[in-house]
Amino acid sequence: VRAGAAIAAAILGLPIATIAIRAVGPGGLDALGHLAQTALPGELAVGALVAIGASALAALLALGGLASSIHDFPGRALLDRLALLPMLVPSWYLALVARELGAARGLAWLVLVLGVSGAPLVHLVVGAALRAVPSAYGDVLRLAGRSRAAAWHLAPLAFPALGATIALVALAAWADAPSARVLGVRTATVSALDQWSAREDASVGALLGLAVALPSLLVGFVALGRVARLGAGDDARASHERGVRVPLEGPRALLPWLLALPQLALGVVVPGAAIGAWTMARMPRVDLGTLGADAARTILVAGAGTLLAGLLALPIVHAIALAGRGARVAARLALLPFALPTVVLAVAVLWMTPGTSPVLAALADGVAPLVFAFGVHGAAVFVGAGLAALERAARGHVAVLRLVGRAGLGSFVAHLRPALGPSLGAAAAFVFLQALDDVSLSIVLAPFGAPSVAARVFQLAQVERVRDTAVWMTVLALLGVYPLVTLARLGESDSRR
Amino acid sequence: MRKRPWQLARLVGAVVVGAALAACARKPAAPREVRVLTDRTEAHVAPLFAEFERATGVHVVPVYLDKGLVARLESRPTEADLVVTKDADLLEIARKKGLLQPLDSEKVREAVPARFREPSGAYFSDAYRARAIFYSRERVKPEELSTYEALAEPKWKGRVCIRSGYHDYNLSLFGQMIEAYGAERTRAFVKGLRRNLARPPQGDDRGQARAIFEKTCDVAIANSYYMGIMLSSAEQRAWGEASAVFFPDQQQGGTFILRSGLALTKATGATDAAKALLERLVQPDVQDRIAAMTFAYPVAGKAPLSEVNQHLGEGQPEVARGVFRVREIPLDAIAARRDEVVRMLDEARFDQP
Repeated sequence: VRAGAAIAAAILGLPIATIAIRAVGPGGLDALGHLAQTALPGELAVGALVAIGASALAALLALGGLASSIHDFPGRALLDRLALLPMLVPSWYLALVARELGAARGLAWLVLVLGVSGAPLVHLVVGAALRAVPSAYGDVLRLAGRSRAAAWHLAPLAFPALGATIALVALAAWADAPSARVLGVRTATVSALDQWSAREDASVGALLGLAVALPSLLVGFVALGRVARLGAGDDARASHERGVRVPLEGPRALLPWLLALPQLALGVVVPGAAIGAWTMARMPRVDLGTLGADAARTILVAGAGTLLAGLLALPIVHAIALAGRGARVAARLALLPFALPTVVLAVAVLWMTPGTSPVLAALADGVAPLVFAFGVHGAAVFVGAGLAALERAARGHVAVLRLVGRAGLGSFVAHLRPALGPSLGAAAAFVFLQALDDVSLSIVLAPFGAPSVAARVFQLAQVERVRDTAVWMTVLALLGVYPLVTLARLGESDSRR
Repeated sequence: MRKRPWQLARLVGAVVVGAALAACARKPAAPREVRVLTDRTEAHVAPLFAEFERATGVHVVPVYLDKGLVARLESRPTEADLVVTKDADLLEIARKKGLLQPLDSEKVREAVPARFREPSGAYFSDAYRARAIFYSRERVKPEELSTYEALAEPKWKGRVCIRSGYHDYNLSLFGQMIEAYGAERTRAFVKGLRRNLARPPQGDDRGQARAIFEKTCDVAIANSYYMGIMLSSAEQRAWGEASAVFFPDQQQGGTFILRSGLALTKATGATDAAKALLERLVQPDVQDRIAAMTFAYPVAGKAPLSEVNQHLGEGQPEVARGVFRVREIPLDAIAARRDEVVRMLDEARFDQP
């Protein structure tokens, strides 16, 4: 069991090890010293500002979600679904829409775009945490005559989830390169990409990639560990009835809608209207054959990457269930590739699959590197989801499996299916959505003759043809509908379990 | 009944894994296929590839990259047969790294002048364009412009736009300046230009013309062929019409140019087909198509300058019907300056707000 987890963790650690090895080069330290004295401090500061600003804004924008999680009001389910819709549009496309519509440029716009993009995740996770609060809390509030201030009293219960998710949004903002490039903001991550492509010495790019990755690795290490334990409190486990539902009536019923209004306007109405209008105008000119092939290929690659992520994560979750503390180190290691900025991961995977070896060249041909990168990147999400599910499973369940000699991976998965299923399903939906929207990995590791929908959109938009990409963007959004619905449904049912 | 979702999941999983494995499997070397690694805009080269496919039956399989062309070639030298790049400086870097193989083609030697061919035959250019100055027709007179360096003067403070300094186009421009003017003058220019920017460097070259149209800035450094491309597009015509193109340094040695380039990779397994594609791209009719389609200056075409290109440089006494003085800097010299340029940009904090 431990060996399986160790192998999986080793595979997941390969990209970081590759970057670290490449960083040891003749020019690397010299160039980093030069950068540290010149551009790097400013780029790090801008990156930090973006991360802090975007995560704070995402928390503010998700207030409506917080309110809708503990109240009953007309249209609550609709609000919950609408608030997640921005997840269908990648942040870099929101940036393109903002630039196209209002000549948006600069730091403030980047913070706004990444905040709007991050808010649905906060809504989803914080909502799930609040829905896991025992319903008895609501009865207590009613008895104490404090129902009107239910949000105020229950909000602290969501603070761990809020903190962890805000850290995740900060992580995504720090690691972002495509949106920053669209809006002309030079963050440290953008700089890492430029230094890698502009300089001849690979060690410079590797060292800068490592430097950029370090803060995100630290944040990711803490934040992802927290997310993994969310919803696992003893109080919640002891309760059979979950979810506080404080009714809102009269004008107060509008409050969650008002709170959600900025997020719905910025993340749904404006981009939706723009993309819709451009799609209608461009539809007759689109080559449907190419579009269909791109879409099919995108689903295939994202699906294979998601599957690989699950396969890499399961041995680790299995080992944690059976081997406990020691395997948790492997779990923490497995979380790291998720924290690695995808532009850095892309370069690492490119270096890992050199064409100089015929065997590796054969492996590196086609979509394999891209599938590998998606798998490595997404495994952390599965590990986190698996750990959360384990925390909810009966503690004696695993011990009994071991006692009766049915502790193999197959039996483990089969017997813990009711607990693992929804969590892993939600993780799969999330990883699939991320793979659909990705451009950093998809362009650096692009297979010959096989661009993804997102890569095609990004490359066309780069030459100021944003409106011509609308049909492709609509298809990309439609591809994400089913996973998003699944994510919302499973997240909700999982939190009630 | 409870098992159904899992059975479905297994089935979907099996299909996805099977399809992915099939897609991952390396195709056998197909002589009727040429794999092209390119950082050029798809719309500019895809029609040429399609035409070659129709004429020869050889399938062209491209991959369109954004950044890191040489890094990808270096990491996977066997995956592509051909490299087609917007910036031939990159081919010089690839040559130095031993990633290219010489092309022995009489047709290419006949069609392409020697100055556009690497002496050992490692690569050649099919076209070039000027790294020019776009200026607002409304707010700037051509007499106000003269050299690249003049854009660093205080009178242009807050009036200049440019894309990222780290983009290949600007790395090449600044590298050429170091060769032509020396390092100190170029450093002063980079710092002065940085001071005069109306906004942090961003967008592509068309984005700079758009910024002039939107009155964000009055002048911009951009490639000459974007004028023709914008004027050919219904949506971008207004951006092009708001600007005019000025060829700088006409009295000081000539305007710097950027050369697009092509080369065979060292590991190509489809040499004949790849060679046929390279030879096709320098035939006069294709060169004329390149000129008509991209508004670049072909190295071997026979057609006269396009109507749009004939109007570039209007108002400049040294430029007659779009014909301007070119300052050619050897590609090996430009490539050798690349790291120095990056350091200069870092020192100037060129891309930062």
